[in-house]
Amino acid sequence: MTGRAPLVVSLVLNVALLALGVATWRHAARARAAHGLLLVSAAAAAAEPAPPAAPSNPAGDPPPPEPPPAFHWRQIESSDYRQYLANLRSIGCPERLIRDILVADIEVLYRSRLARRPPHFDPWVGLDGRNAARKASQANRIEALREKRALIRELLGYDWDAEFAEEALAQHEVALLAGFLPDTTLMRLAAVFSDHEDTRRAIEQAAGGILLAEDKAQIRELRDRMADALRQALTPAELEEAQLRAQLADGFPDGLHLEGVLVTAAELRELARESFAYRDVVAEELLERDDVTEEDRDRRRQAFERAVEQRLGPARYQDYQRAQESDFRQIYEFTSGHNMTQSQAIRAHDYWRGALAEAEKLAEDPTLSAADRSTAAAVLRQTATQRLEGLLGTGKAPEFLEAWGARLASRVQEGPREAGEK
Amino acid sequence: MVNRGVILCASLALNIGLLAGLYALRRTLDSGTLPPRPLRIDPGPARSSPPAPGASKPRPPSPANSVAPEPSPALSFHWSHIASTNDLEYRDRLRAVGCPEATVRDILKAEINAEYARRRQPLVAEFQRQFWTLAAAGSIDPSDAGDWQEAEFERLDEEREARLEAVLGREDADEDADDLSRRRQRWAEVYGWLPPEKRDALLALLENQERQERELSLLVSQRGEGWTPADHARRKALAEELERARTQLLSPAELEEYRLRVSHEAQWAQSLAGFEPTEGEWRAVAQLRSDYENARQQLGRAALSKEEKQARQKELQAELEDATRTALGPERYAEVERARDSQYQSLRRVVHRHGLTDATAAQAYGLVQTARDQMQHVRDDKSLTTETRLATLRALQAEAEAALRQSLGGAVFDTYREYGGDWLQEPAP
Repeated sequence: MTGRAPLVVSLVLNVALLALGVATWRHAARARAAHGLLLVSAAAAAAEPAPPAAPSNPAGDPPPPEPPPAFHWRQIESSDYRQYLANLRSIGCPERLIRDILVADIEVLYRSRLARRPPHFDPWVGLDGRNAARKASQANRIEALREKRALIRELLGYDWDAEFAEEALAQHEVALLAGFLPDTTLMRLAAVFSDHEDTRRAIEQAAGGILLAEDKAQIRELRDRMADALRQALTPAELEEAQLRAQLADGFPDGLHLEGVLVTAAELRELARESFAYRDVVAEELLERDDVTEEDRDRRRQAFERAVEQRLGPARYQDYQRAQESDFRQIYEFTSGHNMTQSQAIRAHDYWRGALAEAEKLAEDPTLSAADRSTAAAVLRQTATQRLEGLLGTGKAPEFLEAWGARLASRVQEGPREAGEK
Repeated sequence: MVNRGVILCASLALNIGLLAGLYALRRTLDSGTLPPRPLRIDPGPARSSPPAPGASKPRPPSPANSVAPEPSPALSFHWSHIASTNDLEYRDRLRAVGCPEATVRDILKAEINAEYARRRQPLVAEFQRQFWTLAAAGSIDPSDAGDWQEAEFERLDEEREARLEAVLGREDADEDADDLSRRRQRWAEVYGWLPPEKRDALLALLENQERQERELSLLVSQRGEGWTPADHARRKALAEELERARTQLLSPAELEEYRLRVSHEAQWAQSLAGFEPTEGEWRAVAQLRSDYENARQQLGRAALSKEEKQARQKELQAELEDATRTALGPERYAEVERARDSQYQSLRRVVHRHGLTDATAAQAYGLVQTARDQMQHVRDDKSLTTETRLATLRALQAEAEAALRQSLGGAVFDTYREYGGDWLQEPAP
């Protein structure tokens, strides 16, 4: 009897395990089926009547629809996303439509968790109670965002964000600037960035805005991971193009101007590339790697200026220097808007610099009385307006020309400036 | 004997196998599944042929790591049976096969958007070819190329939107419905304290007023001439109508409760860090503040000189503080006073961030208060020269820093200096 005991126990255990396995599987299946039925009932209860017929198609009223026999959408509907996807594929639904149908569906699934609805509190709930609930609600929202992206990625095999597709890709400004990248790459970039932002927000929220050394280290690590992921999402050529365009888009960079400077497309690309050494826009703005000291920045700017001079040669470098002056850029914008030549803009600007120096001299002259100053200001104003009219043409935006004359007069009237103001 | 040994070994192996299988099954069921998809099938009879038997029953989701599921039983149906280049035909065919209305919208929107993306593509490609040339010529702003071929893009966009509206109707109608549903939920929460029948009636009133306001706004926007005095009067009348109806619906006590809850005075504890009032404390103080506010408004209308009003205002303020102290008791009142101080709030946030308690924050706050009082005293002392004052302030500050560092510990003190200890910067004379 004692010798048979281990065998009996083992056999009984086998039967029990088998029964437990079957029961577990059945229970799970029943729970899911019940959940699915509940969803169907809820959908049925919430469903509203179909909207009224839309206006007729400009192409003419369509012939009455002829649905093929023995098909109803219920035959492909499923509460299991994978099954639904497989069913849609099996009836030849195009992949891009499958994507949009599933993504729209998933958006609905997550809508309530993603809604920015502030929690409601009884009026006696204090700040701690409110903050705790808000924090939990934000954390739940971030988690839902991550889940949603992961679900889409798992189903489709790539990232797709309906909101980004609708709001960003549909806008032609975005389509133009980012159009050198395929949509799926853009979506990947957006997802990488969103993942990073969500994780970062979660860290900051958990820290209540007070970042300790470990939080800062975590954020740095996160940024490095994002940089790696962005690099992986792009081919070397795409990465280079994206970086060069970013240099150009960010004021080339930091307020460097090329108005009135004749450069070729190839030269501009090279200038953009050379500007990396001065300031790397992607690294500093997106990846927040800005550990350059002010002195270092000045040194880099000077090196960049030398590179510009070398690339453009002395004459065009002079144009480049002129383009950094805001007065010239205003005049240039005016002349460009009125179909005038670049040399007109340069002549007007040269005159303006002389007139401004004259106004400065008069303003700083301590021997002038208030009356003298007033007379000098009026003369200078009239002369400048007339001269600018001569250079830029009369009758073209007189208020613009007047404004320049008035600026000179105002400087003269202002009188000497304190040392610190100059 | 040999046979029994073999059977025992096999049975033990089966024990292990079954245990492993059960473990794997539970893991798969517990964690490896996708969320179930909410079905969108519209209710009511099918608009065309009936569904295949059992086809509408939800299926359990398949495990995440399983192989791709087999499609449902082979169908002779193909997408090409419903796809059409004619939007209305496409829509009606989808409806005819029982496609849920929301999915009909998704499909047509996707199709129309895709077509316009295709039509826009040559322009986008042209822009990419010319990007650097255009930028070099200054013809585009590299950070906002919206001007380039703007008219053509806008024409395509308008055409696309008109086509979407023609086939699907106005999209903002859906947004309005969503918005109203969110508001309904919010009202239900805000008025959750009312008996259910009263709450439902009030919600109906609010919804009605909201609907009429929307209709008015839509009318104004369609007219395109902005809000006229008559429109403003109509809006005011709607608000008054709602107020009258609310007054009729609620009992005097309910109305009073409503007014207290929505009053500014009700919010007195909402920004206090570390002070959570009980409902009773909240009511007592909110009522005191409400009475104070009424008295203050009466004072504003009283025939008194400016000085007399200021003096009375001070008295009212002092009376409010006294009454609050009495209502809460001295200890709770002291907690309120401390919680109002932004210095305490920032100190407490830092202390909590390091996992320490309110007691640590309160202790350090005592040091901060003492130091700030002493520094204020020095600032008020007009007999001191600027140099002496600055030197004394610096000495007091150094003393306070040392005391705080000792009380909080180096790491917490450093965080406090970074997030809230602004007063520890160079002192102003």
